[in-house]
Amino acid sequence: MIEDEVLKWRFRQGSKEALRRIYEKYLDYLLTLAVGLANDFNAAQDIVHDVFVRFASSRGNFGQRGNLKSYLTTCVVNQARDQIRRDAHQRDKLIQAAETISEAEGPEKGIMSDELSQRLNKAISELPYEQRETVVLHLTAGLRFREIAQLQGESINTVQGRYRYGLDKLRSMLNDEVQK
Amino acid sequence: MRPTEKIENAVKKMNFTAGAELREQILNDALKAHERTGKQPALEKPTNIWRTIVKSRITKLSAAAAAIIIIGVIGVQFLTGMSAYAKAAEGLRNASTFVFTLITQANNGTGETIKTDIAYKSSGFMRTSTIDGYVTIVNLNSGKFISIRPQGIYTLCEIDTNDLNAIYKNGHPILRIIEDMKNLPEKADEELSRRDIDGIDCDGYKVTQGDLTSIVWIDAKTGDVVQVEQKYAIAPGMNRIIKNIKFDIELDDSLFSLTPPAGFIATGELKSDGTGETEETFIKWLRWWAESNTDETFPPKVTGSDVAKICIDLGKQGKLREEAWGKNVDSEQWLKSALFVAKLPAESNWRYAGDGVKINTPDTPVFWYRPAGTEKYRVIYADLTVREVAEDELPR
Repeated sequence: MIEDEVLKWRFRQGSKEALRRIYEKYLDYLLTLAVGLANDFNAAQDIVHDVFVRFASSRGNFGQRGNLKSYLTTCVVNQARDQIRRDAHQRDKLIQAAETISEAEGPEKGIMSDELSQRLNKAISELPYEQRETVVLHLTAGLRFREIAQLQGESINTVQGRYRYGLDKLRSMLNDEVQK
Repeated sequence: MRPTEKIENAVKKMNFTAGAELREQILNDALKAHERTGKQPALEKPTNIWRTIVKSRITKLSAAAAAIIIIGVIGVQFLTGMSAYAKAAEGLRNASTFVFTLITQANNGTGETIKTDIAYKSSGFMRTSTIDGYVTIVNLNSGKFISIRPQGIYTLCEIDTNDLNAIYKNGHPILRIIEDMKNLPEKADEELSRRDIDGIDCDGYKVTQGDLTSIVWIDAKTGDVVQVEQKYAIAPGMNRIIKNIKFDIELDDSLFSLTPPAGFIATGELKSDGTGETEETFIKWLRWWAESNTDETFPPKVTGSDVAKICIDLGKQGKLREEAWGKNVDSEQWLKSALFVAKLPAESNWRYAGDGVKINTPDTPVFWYRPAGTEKYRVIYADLTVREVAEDELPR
């Protein structure tokens, strides 16, 4: 966290090394978040790509004073929402395509994960977007319900409700996994 | 565990990682975007004194006028006539703030490189941080320190003001690095052939100051100092590389705040009353270190905030003996031992060469210094005996 303050400051000063370090530090976290939100490997790659390229371009006017991780998280959430809105009509096609691609790609390409993560993500992808976003932001990004409520422009009760419903659905979908 | 808790835990552990190709592709695009933005000159160049002056609206016009007059008086020929090295040395000499990455090598067989980010204000503030979140902030005016660890804990520390003056006067190890950069002579001894450093074409200049040889690498296009390598002829363990150098830039006060981060837990306070900072305490600490780790070697270094981190890392690697941990040396003695070295004046020519050396290795010096007012050096050997030797008998 403290290191982030130095990285942010250096990044504003134009340090390429700082950008590299931020990238290495947060790439996989943001990718996991994006996969969870977009439930589509290709879309997740695009989201993370766009977030980092925009972030890199913003260095001159990057005046963000808060937490760097929260800032990047918000960027991914916004980008995911845009992407999903844009691609809503192609959603099913994309999921199929992405799954085919990810199976075809070797371990050095694309996105890698363990089997359990893939099964969980498949289940998460079945949730309505609001529930999915709430579950992913709370569990993957570690945001509090109050923070998610701010981000979604909803009351904390609504957010807690979405989380509860989402988790219940996951439990019923992953019944076998849970028994293990 | 309840089924929902199991799911919560599983989702928390869900992990997707980018493959090598994707990783490289996004990074390359981000770096290109970064570079394109950098073509805006005001952002690419480090802030200099002129930029600071020009930032004030009141002085904007007068500064512009003054700049024209000064350039007119000095003449362009003078500016272009100065060598890139001389200009860089002058810039470093007059700088009041520094930011850089210090790279030291732990020659303990692991080949591990230790990177520490340093921010320094000549008004008496210093911040060191490692990539994994170990931070030390020092207010050299008040003697107060804060050491923050990534595990969410911090320690406040205060040292006697006499000690502080001694350290400040004699040169804190990091201040010494800065002083060495500030004291670079006007002329280099030797020009080296051009080399690519981190993708930048650099001209190298070799400078010798006593047993210290500095190689200054300067961006052939912009004249910016890109890297400084400091090598000690008689103590290679102290060699270091200084990268990502920026100087005379504005440093936000928040970087040097002694207020612990929200939610962090205090682990007590450390104070030194100015007593016990002796060679004996230092030797005791060296013994404790060497006997605590399973390799039975001395620490890679004896100063700097990352010494504690190295110790914690040894613990994580299972290389610390439980029975020795916490025995013999407590944290206050550790502080006093560090103060003993920090207070040694520059004239003492202290050197540390114990990195990777096993305790009780015969006839192997690990530390030496010349006490004030004496001709002979005190040399601490790996068996932790001390002998007095003349300068020409020192290890080479």
